[in-house]
Amino acid sequence: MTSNLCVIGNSHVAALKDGWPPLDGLAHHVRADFFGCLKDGMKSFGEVGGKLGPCEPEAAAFFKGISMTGDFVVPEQYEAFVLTGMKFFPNYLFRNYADFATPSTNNHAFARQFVSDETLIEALWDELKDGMMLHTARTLRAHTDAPIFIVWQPFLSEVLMQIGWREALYSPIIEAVDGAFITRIMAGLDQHLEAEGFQILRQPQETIKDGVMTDQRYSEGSKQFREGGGGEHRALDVFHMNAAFGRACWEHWFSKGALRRAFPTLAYKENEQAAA
Amino acid sequence: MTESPYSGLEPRAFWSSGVAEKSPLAMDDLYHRKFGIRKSEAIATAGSCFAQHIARNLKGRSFNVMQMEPAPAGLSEQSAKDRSFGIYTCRFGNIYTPAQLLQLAREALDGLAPAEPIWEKNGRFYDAQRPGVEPNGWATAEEAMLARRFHLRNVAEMFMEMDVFVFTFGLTEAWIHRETGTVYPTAPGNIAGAFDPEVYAFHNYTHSETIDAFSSFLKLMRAHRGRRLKCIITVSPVPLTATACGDHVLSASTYSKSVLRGVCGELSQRNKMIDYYPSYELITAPSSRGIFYERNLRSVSAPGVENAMRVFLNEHDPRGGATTPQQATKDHEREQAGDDLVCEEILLEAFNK
Repeated sequence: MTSNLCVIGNSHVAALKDGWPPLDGLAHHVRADFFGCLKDGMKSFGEVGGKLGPCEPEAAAFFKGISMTGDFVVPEQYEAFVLTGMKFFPNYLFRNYADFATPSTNNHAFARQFVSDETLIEALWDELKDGMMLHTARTLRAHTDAPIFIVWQPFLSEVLMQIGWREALYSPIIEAVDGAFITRIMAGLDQHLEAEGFQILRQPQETIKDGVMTDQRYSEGSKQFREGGGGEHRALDVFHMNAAFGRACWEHWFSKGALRRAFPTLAYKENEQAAA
Repeated sequence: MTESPYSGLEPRAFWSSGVAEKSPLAMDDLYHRKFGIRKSEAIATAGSCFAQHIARNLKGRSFNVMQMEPAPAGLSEQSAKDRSFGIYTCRFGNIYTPAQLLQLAREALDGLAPAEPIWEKNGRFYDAQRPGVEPNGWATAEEAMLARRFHLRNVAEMFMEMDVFVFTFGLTEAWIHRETGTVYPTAPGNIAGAFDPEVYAFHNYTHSETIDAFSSFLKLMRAHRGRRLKCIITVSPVPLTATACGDHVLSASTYSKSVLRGVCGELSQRNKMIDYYPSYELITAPSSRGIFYERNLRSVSAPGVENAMRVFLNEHDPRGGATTPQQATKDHEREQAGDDLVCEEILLEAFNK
């Protein structure tokens, strides 16, 4: 029996789409549809004629076309949903770093203020709680009881170190070895997200460089999110990841954890293979 | 020779024409500024709850209100307020008494170490001098002390850089450490800590103690800064929430406000660089018949604040026009919500059972 997975997002869907299917034989058990809009198109995500998709016409046309279903999302057709990108990223956490120390940071020598980790978790939640990702997730939740997984937008590619102002923003964090702090504050949102019935997926450790960036191997050659397959992003694109990243994510998420549990049939087959 | 020294005085000098026959909304001649404030001058604000209105209105008119400890980017306005960001120039919470102000200045500039600096509650640790700024406290006393060291560095910078200091006198009643005289902004046990009568004592500051504390503060500023400081002082028109002095709360409040008003009068008379702004009179004048208070007869209503601030701004920014409409709307909505001010003292109401 085949289960159905629905992936929704913005341009970051491309990496997950290009990396699918990740494991030999997985495609026999899980079929995935990839929906999405460019830029802020998902802001208008809502119910349209009993189905779910962007209300804004241009975004709606892209959404239908990119999925190759020619349609909006019919929630009852899917066993699980994975939401990715959509600016679910701790922008201000990076921007606040130089000014705010906490008990978890190593920046006490140069930060101007000392605040609790809870304060920065609250700031991150305030930044993201009404954003495009949670709008999409909440809209979905109103129409389905299936598991909804929220994926953090990947850390920026390490090519950011070739861009002056980004390098200036990240160097203090890298030099202070404060990647664990960034991860800790991001994890601080789990409670908020779980309270609303969402689960969280993180990028695999193997893809992370210096705790706060994505290894360049997972960003070079990343493709644009276009119907029929897009061209490559510019060389200094820091946001988008490639098929290898998508594959690494799927393998990580399916090899253990909550996403695997969302597909009981898959777990049975895997066990059967292992026994064989 | 004239008939009387009172003959020929302006109408504002007489109760009938200055108050009784005048609309409380037209008391503009109650305040004439002593000195101007240039928009380039760095303004620091501190004091009791009502000072928050002054800071906000000055910001609305693009005065250079210092912000040494701004909120992290991303934090919502409400979350920032819950953590005392953006209320005063530094995140010191309310400073109700000049004794506490002097103590803070000595701590920041001279290394004074207040007694019992950390209070504990349910395994969390709080800065006893500003117990409300981290609502859930700190995991360890060391963290709380580290946070205080960062804070004091910013406070010291504020004292050294400010050109104008706006301070609202709030209370005479305080809780102090018996052995050392360390003063606290709230009683131990209200937000954190525990009240031990062997360690802590109630103290109701007198006129002379209050004026000495503020004068010592000014002396300390002169010693460290070597340049003049303009001060605008006010008395909060917000009555006491509760008293521990044994008197009726109305008598206690009258004593407190009378002392503070007297101190401000004397300070202003003695020092040309200290200007008294009569927010207290503008709100409490008998002609207003209480209309500038909310139904609890304690909180100052939005029209009351607006009226008082209009008088202030007419003197200090007569050509500034209205506060930006967007700002005014936001302020009004906030004030309508009834949770406008951050005020630790109001927590005392919880003990009224």
